[in-house]
Amino acid sequence: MRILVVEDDNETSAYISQGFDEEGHVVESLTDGREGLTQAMGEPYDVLIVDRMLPGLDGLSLVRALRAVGNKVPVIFLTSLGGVDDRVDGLNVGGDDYLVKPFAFSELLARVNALARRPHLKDTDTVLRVGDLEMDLIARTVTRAGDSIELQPREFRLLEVLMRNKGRVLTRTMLLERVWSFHFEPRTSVVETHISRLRTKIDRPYGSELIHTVRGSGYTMHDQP
Amino acid sequence: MISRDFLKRTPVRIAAAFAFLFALTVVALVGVLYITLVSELDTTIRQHVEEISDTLKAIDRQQGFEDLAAVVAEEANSVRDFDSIFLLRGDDGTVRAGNVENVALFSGWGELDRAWLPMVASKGNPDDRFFAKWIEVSKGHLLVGGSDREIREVRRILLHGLGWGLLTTVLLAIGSAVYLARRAQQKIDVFATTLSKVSRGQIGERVPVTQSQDDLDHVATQINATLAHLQKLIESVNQASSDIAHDLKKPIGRLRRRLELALRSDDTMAFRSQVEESLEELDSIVETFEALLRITQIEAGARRARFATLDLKSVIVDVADIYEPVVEEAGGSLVSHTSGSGSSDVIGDRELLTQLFANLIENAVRHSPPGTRIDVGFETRGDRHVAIVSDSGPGIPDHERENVFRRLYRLERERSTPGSGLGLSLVAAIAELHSASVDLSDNGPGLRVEVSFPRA
Repeated sequence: MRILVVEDDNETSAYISQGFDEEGHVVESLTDGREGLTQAMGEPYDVLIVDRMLPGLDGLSLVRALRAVGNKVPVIFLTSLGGVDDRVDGLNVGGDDYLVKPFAFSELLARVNALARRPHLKDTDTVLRVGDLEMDLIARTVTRAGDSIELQPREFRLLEVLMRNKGRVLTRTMLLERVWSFHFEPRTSVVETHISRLRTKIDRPYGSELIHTVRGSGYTMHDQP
Repeated sequence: MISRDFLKRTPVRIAAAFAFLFALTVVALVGVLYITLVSELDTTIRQHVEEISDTLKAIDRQQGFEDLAAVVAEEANSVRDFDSIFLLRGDDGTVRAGNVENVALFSGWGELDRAWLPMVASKGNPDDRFFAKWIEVSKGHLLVGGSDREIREVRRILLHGLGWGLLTTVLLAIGSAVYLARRAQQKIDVFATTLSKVSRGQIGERVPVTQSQDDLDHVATQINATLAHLQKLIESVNQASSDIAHDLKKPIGRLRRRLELALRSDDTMAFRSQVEESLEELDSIVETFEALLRITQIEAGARRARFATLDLKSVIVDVADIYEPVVEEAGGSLVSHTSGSGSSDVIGDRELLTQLFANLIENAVRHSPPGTRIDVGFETRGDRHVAIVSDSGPGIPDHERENVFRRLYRLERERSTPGSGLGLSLVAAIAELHSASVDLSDNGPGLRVEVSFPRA
């Protein structure tokens, strides 16, 4: 993957670059917003990581300008602590995701992966499959190995998000945002409880796990043992 | 005493403007009066001259030229103060009677002054001018003229009046300006002194409000309200900063010990686990900061710009659904009583309200022993929509109920358990943003929280 990081804090920038480098990706870093815009318009990138506050041109304006010329490269905004409204602003100008500093690299990695390899499935796909698990989005039914499985609407939604991101890691925070629209950190084990309930329905009776815990990161679905 | 500053003051400027306006009025009034009076007097004098002329003409016609000469001579002699002139000339140009020297003939009205009337110089008023007219009589010409003395008198009186009037107006204006400026200045000086005291740290100082209820008193009231608000804010900021410092000392101390232990350990596994625990500790510190900043931002109110009409009941039902398995996992039960139809619309921010109810339910779960039942309800009372979260846990002691909305406040019995003491502060901040009230009461046993929203 080719990633452009526009971030004026050198330490954060180095931290991000090193992380993606170790994951085998190509990272280019810039500190100035205007240079970032020029670079992003001139070269094809898989993902842009843009800080909200930048010298030259702020992150929001950068992305607004990019979108104005029809550039659709996925963008993740970085913002400092406490920006309650920053996420909405970021998404409004055409950002795809949003992360508050300080963050764990695994969180950023998961989000970049989720964005860069945009769903392989087309919007017209109405059946999701992971191994012998099948989800029919029209009939809203789930079957595994031919058995019909009853799910609550919220369990269905959780499983759908996991299946749509087959093979990718979804962090706790990503699940909270995407499944339950929680934009805060709950102090109880909301994610763990719901995942565990889902597992007892779709995994436990079948002996092989499809939902996997990625230690220190989150959860992923795949059918490789 | 009248410094440049004085002239810049608002009352002085207003007084100057009024003085100018008054002066203008006085000048205009006197001007109109002058023009009217002068033209009236002018006409009167000329009419008077015409009347005398007509009378003398009649004498000439009826009694002859010689009688006329006698009457003119008598009239000329009996004139008081030289306010009329007469001159009768024969056809040959000789003066037959009169009280002035020979004057050349002219037609129509003439205005004669001393240059025309050398004889007059020593008599009567030296400034007199005469409106005069030659008329033909049987054997010669007759000049009759009236003095403009009255016109000049009127002019003098009016100018005099104008002068005094202007002087009085200007003096009154200056006087009132000085008075008003002084009075305002005294109040403003008190404001300035008070505010400078406040800026030097005496935040408790207030400006006096007088009984007169004038503009400055309104300003004073406003200043006092602002100062009171600021004082409250500063106190809460001070309180919060010291609370934060106090609260973070413990986890930072723990973090330091962990890292030190990690540094000392030779065992890679032990090292890793110490570092991992340190990271967790750090994350929870960051979380506390995040929550504090979030509360501050919510209190700032900018979020209100994004408010929309939303179904409060659906928010409650969603949150209750999400937490039901979590509560069950903790050994308790969550029951929602949100049936019933009717609108439950409020104006608000769905994301924040979700967090509000999540916090209330989490509070109930975290502070109650396993097996506790949590009830979530919704009611409409008059013009309010009321959300209720109650539990049968240990509740909050009466004397602590006031404090639980304070940032970082922990119940006495829970100081040793993990927790940020920010949950209810956030609830209060979100409720405040929505103009909702939060009411804590005894659920006998347990805690009952009612959040009452104004209906949309």
